[in-house]
Amino acid sequence: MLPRNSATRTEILQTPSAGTRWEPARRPSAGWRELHWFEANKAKLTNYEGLWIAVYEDGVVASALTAEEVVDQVSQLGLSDCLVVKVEQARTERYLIA
Amino acid sequence: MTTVRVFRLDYAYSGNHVVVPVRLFPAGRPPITVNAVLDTGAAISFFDRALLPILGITDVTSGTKIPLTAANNDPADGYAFPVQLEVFGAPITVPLTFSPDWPEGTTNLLGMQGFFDQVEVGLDHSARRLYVNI
Repeated sequence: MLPRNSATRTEILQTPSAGTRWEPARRPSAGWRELHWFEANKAKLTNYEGLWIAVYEDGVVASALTAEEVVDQVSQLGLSDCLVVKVEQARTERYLIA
Repeated sequence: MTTVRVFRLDYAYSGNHVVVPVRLFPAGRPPITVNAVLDTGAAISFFDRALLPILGITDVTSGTKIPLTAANNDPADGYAFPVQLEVFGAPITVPLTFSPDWPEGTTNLLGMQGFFDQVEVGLDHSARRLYVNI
């Protein structure tokens, strides 16, 4: 038996340990539509700065201080494939080189 | 058989990084989507630790320990967990690394080991198109 923290890379790739199993999306555009909406509208989301939000199709459907709370809210709403993202404070754009 | 799919990135992707949706499957909850950057500069895939409780990970140090160095050379410990996720419509298992040393709200990165070694990606930046074989 391997001691903890010594799994080989192959084991890491082949054995999911977190979350649950894949299931197909109910909407073919799931994720992409919300990403497009978020990128187009994030400058208008100043009321949500510092919060996590859930975007479903073309709007915000939940917000909270933590990602987990937002996921709980969308779960209660029965919505699947919401985009869960943190709204960062507006700042001067810097260019990352890494 | 090789099937290359084309994705149009017809949005102003964040900070000139290529951002794509990644579906995650939280235990006991509906699937969610998070954003992730396709980052060939990242040796591994690194995700925001705010997602740990959603994935049912209560002890981040129970993962496989990986030493990390940030772009500013700050060292940290990371812990990798194999997570089944969906990108470009296909399910794959990717070792995602999280760090308790860095704050919540970090950008999710899909990096070389565990992601780009499973997925062929070509980028036509000027045309905003991704060519994907997965």
